[in-house]
Amino acid sequence: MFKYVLKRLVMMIPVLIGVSLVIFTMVFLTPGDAAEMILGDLGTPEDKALLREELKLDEPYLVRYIDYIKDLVLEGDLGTSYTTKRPVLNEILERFPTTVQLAGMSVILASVIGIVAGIISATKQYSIFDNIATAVSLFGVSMPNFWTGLMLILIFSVHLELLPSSGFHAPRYWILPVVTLGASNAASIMRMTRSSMLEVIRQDYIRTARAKGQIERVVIMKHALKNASIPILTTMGLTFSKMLGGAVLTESIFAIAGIGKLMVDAIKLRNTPVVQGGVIFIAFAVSIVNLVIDIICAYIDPRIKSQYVSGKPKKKKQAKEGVSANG
Amino acid sequence: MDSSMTAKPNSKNKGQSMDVLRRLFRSKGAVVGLVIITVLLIFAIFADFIAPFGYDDQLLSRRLQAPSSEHLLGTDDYGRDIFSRIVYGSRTSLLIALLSVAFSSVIGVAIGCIAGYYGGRTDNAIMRFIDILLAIPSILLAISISAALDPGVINLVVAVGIGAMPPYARIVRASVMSERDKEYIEAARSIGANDFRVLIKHVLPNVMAPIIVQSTMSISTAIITAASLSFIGLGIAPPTPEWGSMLSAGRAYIRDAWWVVTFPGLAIMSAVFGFNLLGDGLRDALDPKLKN
Repeated sequence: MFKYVLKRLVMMIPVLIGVSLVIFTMVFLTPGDAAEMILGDLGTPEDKALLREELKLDEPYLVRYIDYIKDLVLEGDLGTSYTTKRPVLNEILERFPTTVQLAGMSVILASVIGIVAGIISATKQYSIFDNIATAVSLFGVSMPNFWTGLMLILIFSVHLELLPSSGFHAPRYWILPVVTLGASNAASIMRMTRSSMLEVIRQDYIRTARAKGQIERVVIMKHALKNASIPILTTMGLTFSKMLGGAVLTESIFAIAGIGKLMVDAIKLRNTPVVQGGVIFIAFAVSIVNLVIDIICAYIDPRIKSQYVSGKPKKKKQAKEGVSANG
Repeated sequence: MDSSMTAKPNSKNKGQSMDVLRRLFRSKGAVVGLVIITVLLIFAIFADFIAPFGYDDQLLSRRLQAPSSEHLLGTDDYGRDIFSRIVYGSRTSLLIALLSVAFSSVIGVAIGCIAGYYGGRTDNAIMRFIDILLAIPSILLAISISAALDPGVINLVVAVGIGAMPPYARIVRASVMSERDKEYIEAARSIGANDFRVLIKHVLPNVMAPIIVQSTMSISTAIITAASLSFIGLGIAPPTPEWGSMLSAGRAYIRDAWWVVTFPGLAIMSAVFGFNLLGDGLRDALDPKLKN
């Protein structure tokens, strides 16, 4: 297992280098002059030329990229923000906990609602609850979360005056953004839970468990849910990693000082070091989250773990463990 | 050769298509989805006849008027009729969504076909590039691309399309890999068909089902992504009506004019809902095993 984790960490390096190359190229191709942006109308042509030289903006593409990667790998330096003149990494690290908190709370909310509703829907397939939950989840995945956020502000902040419409510094302020981000994701987790559970509860080992006289709650929670949990867990992990970079709009609507808002503000101001650094940092965070999810899946499902213990999958052992896992 | 023998595969294909259509129309959800999409398409095509006002007819004396018989969905801060702008906006939003899905599916299918068919180093190189794109959340990728390009429909299509491309490549690659070693492919190769012909004539028709489902589902994602980009000011520039930018402009008036932010959002939701319903229905119709 340790070897697997190490292998995955090593495999992240070329992906991150690739991400840095893609985003560096994109930023390089972006029209507009950084020196012009920083100095504005106040700077003289001489000042701008000096700044261009200082920021190495006149250097060829490849030289600039190699310098950037060298600074990143050797010193962990993601550059300096054009607007605040502070290291990009510091700006990101200051904002990142807020985004993690928002994403984490939203995933917990989405998972609790989605998994509970999905289990009930699957166990009572075609019941009124199932039909309503399926319809609501379809509405949920169809609602753009920036609109959900605006509607929640309209109802709970403007009309009912119950909750604040911006900020994230106290529990009262968490409710609307977390519900906004959690709602559509609850719908996708519910759909995944329902379909995974439906697939599992039709299998023979569930019938065997029932035939043995096992009570329904234990059959569902112990036998079915455990085997249906891998796709559910993967969806939760993907949802969380998507939120790390994709909470841009929620952060923007509720004026939350997270990494998404930092990125959008940087893009609008053509603050390229922050854009580059932000994307690389988020790609790194997403890769780590995906790795953690894979490790958790391996611990839950012995069939997956057996593939990692040795270099190649052990077919016989895998089949044997598959049988024992299925009861 | 007996003519009935040559006609057989065609009649079989026709029969299969009819089966799929029959299953599709039996699904209430898919029919509702189709109705919603048809209404939106009618809005988009006949906007000039349906919209009571032009999308940029401004009159400051009638700004921020609540919904009434004259202005069904009220007016915005420039006194423009919101219903008319939503009708015209369906043109922009659907155009961007459909073009970006066409863009991402063509590139994604081509990449997936090449990776899956040739395998080995080609596959490895292509899939590592896809891994790189997948490591960046799609909305962030679309934001970064649209920031690098000037605002406009085509650039928005490219931004949304590239962000949506990786799933196609993965799905098609997996399907092609499962098809490439089958006997009918070997038979096609043995009678001298080159790789391009084998891919286009033989492999592609057999991996169409997941592509169709992915495309329908992607349209709804593309509508949301395009609206999101416009919402943060990186999409369509005003005064062109686009649902996302209408929502963004209405944000400032949320306290005084609820209709300005409510109806464009409802339009986005209806379109996405329609394509999701149709996508679900198509998936079940094309592969009944996948139902649930």
